[in-house]
Amino acid sequence: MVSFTESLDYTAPGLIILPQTPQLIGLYTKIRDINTSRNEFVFCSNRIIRLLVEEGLNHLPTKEHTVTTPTGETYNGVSFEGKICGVSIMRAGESMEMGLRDCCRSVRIGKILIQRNEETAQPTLYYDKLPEDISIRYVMLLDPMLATGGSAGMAIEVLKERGVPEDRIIFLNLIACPEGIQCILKKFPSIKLVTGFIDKGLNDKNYIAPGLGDFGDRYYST
Amino acid sequence: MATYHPPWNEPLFIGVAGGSGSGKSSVVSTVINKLNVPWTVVISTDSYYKQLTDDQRERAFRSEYDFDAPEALEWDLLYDHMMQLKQGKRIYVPQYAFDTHTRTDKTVSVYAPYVVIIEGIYALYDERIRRLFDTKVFVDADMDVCLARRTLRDMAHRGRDLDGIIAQWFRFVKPNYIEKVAPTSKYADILVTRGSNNYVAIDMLIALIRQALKQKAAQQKEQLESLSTDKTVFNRDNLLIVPQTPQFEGLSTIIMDRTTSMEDFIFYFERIATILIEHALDSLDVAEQSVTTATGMEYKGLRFTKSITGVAILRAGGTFDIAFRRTVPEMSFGRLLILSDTATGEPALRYEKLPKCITNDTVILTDPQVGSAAAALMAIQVMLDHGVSEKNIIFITFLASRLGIMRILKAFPKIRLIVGKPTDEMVPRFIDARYFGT
Repeated sequence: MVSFTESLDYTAPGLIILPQTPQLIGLYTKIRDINTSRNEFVFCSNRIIRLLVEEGLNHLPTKEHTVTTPTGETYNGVSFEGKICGVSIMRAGESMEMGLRDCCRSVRIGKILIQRNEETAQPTLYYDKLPEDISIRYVMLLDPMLATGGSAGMAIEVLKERGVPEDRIIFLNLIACPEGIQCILKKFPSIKLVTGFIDKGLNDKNYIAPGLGDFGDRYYST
Repeated sequence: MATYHPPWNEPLFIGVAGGSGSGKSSVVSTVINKLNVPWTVVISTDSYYKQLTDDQRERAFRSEYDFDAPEALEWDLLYDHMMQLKQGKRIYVPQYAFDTHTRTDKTVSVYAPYVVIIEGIYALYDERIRRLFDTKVFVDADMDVCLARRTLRDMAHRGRDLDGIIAQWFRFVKPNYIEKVAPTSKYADILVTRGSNNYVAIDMLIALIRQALKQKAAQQKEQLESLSTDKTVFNRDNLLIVPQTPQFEGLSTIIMDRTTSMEDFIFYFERIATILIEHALDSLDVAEQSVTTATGMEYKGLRFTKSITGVAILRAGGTFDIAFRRTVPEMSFGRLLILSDTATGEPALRYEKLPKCITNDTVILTDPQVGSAAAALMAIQVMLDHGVSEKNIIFITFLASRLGIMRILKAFPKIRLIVGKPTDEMVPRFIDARYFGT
């Protein structure tokens, strides 16, 4: 029997964990491995991101829609409802934009830059540029790593200030940990949090462990 | 248990013998041209000349080696090849070079013929081979005509000089003919005199082959029927119907909608293709793999142990290409073209190109639609014929009729079948036309 470590089994309303299939575990093994080349890291991350986006999109509303097929039959299907946009938390979140665009071609993408203040260790908002009509859109919030939840929490605050209802925020994330999830879902109980994997926790430097290091550094090779 | 027999199992074997220069080749080519069906192959016994020793080759150059004796041919190899074709396997026919008197390192591969014509002076000589023939033909001609034809041919195509040809004729060809070839005419079902001018005999042969092809088509139809009526319960464990999530429902609706633009159709079909491929990849074999992460800790994960090959059932199966290249760029690709024969309506394998050595691979077969499953069954059989084991085959499709699903899993219970949307009725093909715009 082949054994492997899968995501912590953590249940909370609004939390969705991708099915822990052998394929997904194989991809995570690749991106976690410190010896994986950058090309492969980018490729495997993109595949996981695509799965996250597909799952995230499942939480958008649909309505019944009947169409006629090319062969002349009637088909009772559904159509997608609601406008969406992406918001990436710079810079690591920007790595997920391509995955979103792979599924939603001309989706608008907003940006939020949050940096940790070295003196206070508190996250600070440096910059944001969001679609003007963001309040009527569903928001796919992009950030690959959910550690303490500090930056993500601040980004969600920004979205709420612009009039986005909490239940229209879908937060997509590659690796999370219980601390981050608790922090986010306690403050924003109505958002949807879609993650691929929940690790054990944080190490003394507030990195997710075992994690994969700094996602942005590995994706952008810095 | 339900089983599947492809139409190329038990091909019709026709043996065509006759003296050198009697007109065997022109009889055969007249039959082939008039018949005009692609799944008929001709194998010349000349391809099975034994590999000569240096000493024999010397003699051959001096026209002293007896090529017209039955011992010059490697009968065992020809017999093995016929047996393999009988079982639907691929064979590699050797190529003999007459100017150098050597078997070249090139071969011609023969796979999945419905009719095999074996032609050569001794085609009816070997008893084991004779037993494999469904029809035996002997082409008879006047010896003077034979000599004249042979002389012209050998000078033009086989690089021989006149003296050599004449010497060979009297030393080997004629005595061998009288002693060993002519007597085999008694085994013939059809005796063709005057070679290719004998239209009556040629038409008889053609009618015979047509009859056999018709029978094959009928058998295939009957087999498909029996796969639906067969009472065995099929293995549902190997069937995965993709979860019908809101996204998948919405994507399917866009694909089914006749008003969807071509641009949208391509885009959304690729999303569906990617979802199907991801599900296929979930059933690959894995092994444990521990890695160290950038935080210095260990993670106990998995790695994949088999290489994968995608095989598209053309033309429609090609709609998965781009999604495959994005998901598994290192993967090799094979193609099968399966078309319906306009005469009988039965699907037939018209072309195949597979990567070498796929025996140990996991093969993902693609076809966006499965109706009667006739093409799908055939494609799966091609994989098995090439040594892929049934449990290493994954078949992915978007729209599949319930009847087709049942037939596939009854005939091949160990393959993994991944379906986007099962349909109650067979949906006529439209996805390839919409995707390619033609």
